[in-house]
Amino acid sequence: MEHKLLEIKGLKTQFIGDKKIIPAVDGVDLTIHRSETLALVGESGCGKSITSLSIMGLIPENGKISAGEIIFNGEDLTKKSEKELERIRGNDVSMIFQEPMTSLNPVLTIGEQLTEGLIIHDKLSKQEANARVIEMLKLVGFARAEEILSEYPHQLSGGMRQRVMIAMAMATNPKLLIADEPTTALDVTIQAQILELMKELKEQFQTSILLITHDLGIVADMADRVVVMYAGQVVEEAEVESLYENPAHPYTEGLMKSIPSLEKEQKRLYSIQGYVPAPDEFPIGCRFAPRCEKAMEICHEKAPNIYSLGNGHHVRCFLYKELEEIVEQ
Amino acid sequence: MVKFIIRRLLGMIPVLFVISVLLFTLVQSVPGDAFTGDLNPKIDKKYIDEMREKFGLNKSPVEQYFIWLKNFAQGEFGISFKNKLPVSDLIVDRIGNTVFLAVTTLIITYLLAIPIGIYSANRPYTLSDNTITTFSFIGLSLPTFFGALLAIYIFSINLEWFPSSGTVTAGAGYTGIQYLLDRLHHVLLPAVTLAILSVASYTRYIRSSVLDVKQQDYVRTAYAKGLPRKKVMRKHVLRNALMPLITFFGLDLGGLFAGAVLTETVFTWPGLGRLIFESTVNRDYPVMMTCYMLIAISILIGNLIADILYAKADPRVRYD
Ligand SMILES: Nc1ncnc2c1ncn2[C@@H]1O[C@H](COP(=O)(O)OP(=O)(O)OP(=O)(O)O)[C@@H](O)[C@H]1O
Ligand code: SF4
Ligand SMILES: [Mg+2]
Repeated sequence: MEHKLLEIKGLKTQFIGDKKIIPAVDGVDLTIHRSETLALVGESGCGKSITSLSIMGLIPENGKISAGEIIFNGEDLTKKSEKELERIRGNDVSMIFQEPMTSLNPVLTIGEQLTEGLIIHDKLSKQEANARVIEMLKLVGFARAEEILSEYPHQLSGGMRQRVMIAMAMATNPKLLIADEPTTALDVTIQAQILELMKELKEQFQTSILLITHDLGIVADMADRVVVMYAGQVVEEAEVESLYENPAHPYTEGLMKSIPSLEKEQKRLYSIQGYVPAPDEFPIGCRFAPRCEKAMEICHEKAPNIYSLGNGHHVRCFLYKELEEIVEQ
Repeated sequence: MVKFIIRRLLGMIPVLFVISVLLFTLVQSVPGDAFTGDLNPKIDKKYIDEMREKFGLNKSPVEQYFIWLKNFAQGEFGISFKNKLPVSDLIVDRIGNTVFLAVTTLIITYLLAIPIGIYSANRPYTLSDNTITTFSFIGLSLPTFFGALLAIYIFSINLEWFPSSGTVTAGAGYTGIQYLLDRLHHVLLPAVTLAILSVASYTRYIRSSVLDVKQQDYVRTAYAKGLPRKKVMRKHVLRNALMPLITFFGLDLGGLFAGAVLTETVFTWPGLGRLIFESTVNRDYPVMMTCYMLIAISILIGNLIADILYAKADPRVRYD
């Protein structure tokens, strides 16, 4: 069996907005191995969600994939028809979203929403689908799973709804689960429970996970590898240990410093100055240069390439230009 | 639910009382009365005074109101000043025509507006959507009476496709299916004229509602499950987007009895709308009061029905 489950090469996803082109995802490479958890990290607006929606083929109507390949399980998803994508979505690749409060249809019962995917993909009857869903609901921690089936989303708390979403996503036993900030909207204790649940399920189902977050704090606990995105590009990629021990990119360093720490008494929380540039006003040189504390002259003139620190630890920054250069696809 | 309905019905009584006081005051504050206009010199002034006395018009307004209220509460709607017939007979005569016109209008409205609204929402800002938008605004800004006259001019007088007045062909003596077709033939022009207006606003509303629901997170979830587009539209988008129409349906139901005063008048359609028009011109208080109260009651009932239907359709809404 091929070791790589998903390989994204040179992905560009653009939007057409007010007569100009918005390059939201601008040449992203990333790989997810089988039963691996890959964290995709970056501030708001870096293009994390659009990257994941590109995999699903669910980019908003005014956008399109303009270049690149998304090889999933040996097949290029960008070349698939809508019908073929429908068979993959929710079946081989499932997704859960940030807002559990609004991600479920308010007027359909939980049972109806949980079974419809199974009925389509696994050709189950209503009864079989119900049985499977009850099993899944128990697995994600509902003691009274049978009753939940006939309840409506508004009767459940945010944490419970996210559990429902996870049950929905895992019911078809997907090869890849994309979780787009699955705990951002939840409070801290619930957040920990949901992450714990995801880890358990991942062990049990051997699912690969693409965990999107802007919180480096949860990454160490969850992920095997990390990809850091900035302004539509990957700026650093490494194994979790390697990244935490040696954050190479100044942006990653900044993100690390902004993690609130319980051990150290901090007077003020660090935050990177400035903000992520909008996709239609990316700087010419290094896209991080205007905010970078280590920026050099060259950074404002040329865009940096990717350099290898060894062991699969790559960084897009001129500070490492003496190292081996990685050729982009 | 029965308790809810009873509570709501009881709650209507004080509302209707206040409305009746306001209506009575309005009706009374119009100068003159039903007999002021009788300028026929042959009619003896004494006779008019007798009539005024007979109909209680010489009593104080407060006294008149309570007499009216007592009768109305007992289902005694009085006698029309004008044609000396019981008001209830006049209304029974007309109500069928008005309901027939209103129901036909509603059906035409839904049949046109729902598909057009959805079609528009599925291709926003394209040529076809913009064309529909333009026509909607023309439809919205067209005054009813003008639209009605235009329709008569084009389709009755020039093209001779539809009759310009009445509800049936007089003296044709049709029966069965032929009678039904004849009635449909007569109702179509006024109904379409009335429908055009509401089609315009309904189309706008449905378009924006569908566009809004299409952006909702749960629709993205439905796509992420791998549901085909058609199924997502039917099951997740339309159900949510069209639900607010229930409220409109309730309002339309209420407006049903108000009839379309102008349209009925232009098309000489013998419905409640024209009865209201005629009685107002003649200051025929008993007819006016009864018609207005009927409208008030039907609006309140229409709202109640909308609330019941809404609670059935949307699990988040509870009866309380
Ligand atoms: N439909 C759209 N039309 C135009 N631009 C869009 C659209 N959707 C997203 N964008 C732009 O693409 C960029 C990337 O958005 P994306 O949602 O991927 O960010 P993100 O990294 O997921 O951020 P967040 O943490 O806020 O979710 C943003 O600058 C956003 O403004
Ligand atoms: S390339 Fe220059 S500006 Fe960009 S991150 Fe590295 S040091 Fe900073
Ligand atoms: Mg996002």
